[in-house]
Amino acid sequence: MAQSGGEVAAKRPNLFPSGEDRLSALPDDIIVLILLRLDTIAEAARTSVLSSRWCRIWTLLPELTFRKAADYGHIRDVIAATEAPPLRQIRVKTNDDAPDSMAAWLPLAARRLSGVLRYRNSVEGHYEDDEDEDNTTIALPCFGKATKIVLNLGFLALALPSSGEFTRLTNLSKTRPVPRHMRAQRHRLLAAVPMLAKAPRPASTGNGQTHRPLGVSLGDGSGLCLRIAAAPY
Amino acid sequence: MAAPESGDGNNGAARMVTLISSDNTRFEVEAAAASLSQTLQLTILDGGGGGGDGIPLPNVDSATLSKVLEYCIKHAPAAANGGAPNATAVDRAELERFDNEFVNIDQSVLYSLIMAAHNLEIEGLQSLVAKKVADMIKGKSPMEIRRTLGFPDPTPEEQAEMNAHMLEYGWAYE
Repeated sequence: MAQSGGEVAAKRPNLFPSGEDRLSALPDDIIVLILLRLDTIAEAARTSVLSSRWCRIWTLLPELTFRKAADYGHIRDVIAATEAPPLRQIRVKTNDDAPDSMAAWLPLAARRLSGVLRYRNSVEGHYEDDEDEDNTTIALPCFGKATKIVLNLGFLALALPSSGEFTRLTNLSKTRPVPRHMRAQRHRLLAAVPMLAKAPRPASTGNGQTHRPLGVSLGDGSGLCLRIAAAPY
Repeated sequence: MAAPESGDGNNGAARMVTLISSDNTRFEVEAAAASLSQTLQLTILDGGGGGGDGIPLPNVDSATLSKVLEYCIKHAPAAANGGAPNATAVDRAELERFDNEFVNIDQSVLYSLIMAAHNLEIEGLQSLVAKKVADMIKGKSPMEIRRTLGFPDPTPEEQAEMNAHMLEYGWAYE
């Protein structure tokens, strides 16, 4: 904004300002806008080396994206480091196959997130019989303020919290045929969450071959949407 | 989104408003284009900027303002249609081509633009320029980022700070 003449576009004023001067003049809001356009939170964190001005701005980002294996081990640290007032979105793409590493960050994410969680695990695997579930089961904590949770768990199973913490849950749907253990989960959820238990039950899945989404809607439309995308079996 | 002519019965020629840059250059544009700015939209809805009055913009110089208005004029018709619904694929492709071309400019102009878009609250322009700057950062090493954005090479102190940061946040550099 130091230009005074201005009749010729892009003509520099007498003193040549460095990119650093110009970028340092930008307000935090704008730098946040720029960093939000980067692919991952790691890339945003790397801009800290630009100057002390940029050093902590990545921690203000309201959306966190993790894509690479290297990011994955640090999800908890990153969520803990962020200072964004409301965390709008956490997006994780991974091929990590250990549920315990997810357990390291899920509880913190559950407390911090006020928006959308998208988790996609692309590990290939096969469904085992129910007895083997323990080491491939992810315990989903209560996401009290989340508005939407989309989990694509690959072969991992999901354990839902047993108390009625999902009070804002209005929709549970699965868009693919539901494996046996997931069907059991659904019944547990219906039993665990009072609001869902009162909802009309969807049509019976019969022999499990149906492709119709299993949907439970409570009709107030404003609450948490939990979508569990189950891999085919 | 962008306000249509507020029912003043003037259905003929489009309503014009005058904007005055920090260096006192006057720009006359259609109200619909200027209304892409959330900041200006209220004033314009209140009937401001018409006649000999003009709306002063003390934070925007004329070079930047003419660039901003170029964007607004191009995007106004689509915004008036409420964005996507009526736009044909051809229209959208044309806007995209315009946008790509539009931000293909000197970095100093880019930063003036993003500041102006921020002050005037022109959402589309803000994200367009933010994306452009982000594209200049993507996939680069810290030193490459510095050079691309026109930072001088680090002083020894800055280098020490950089090293400390890279040690603390090693995961970001893997």
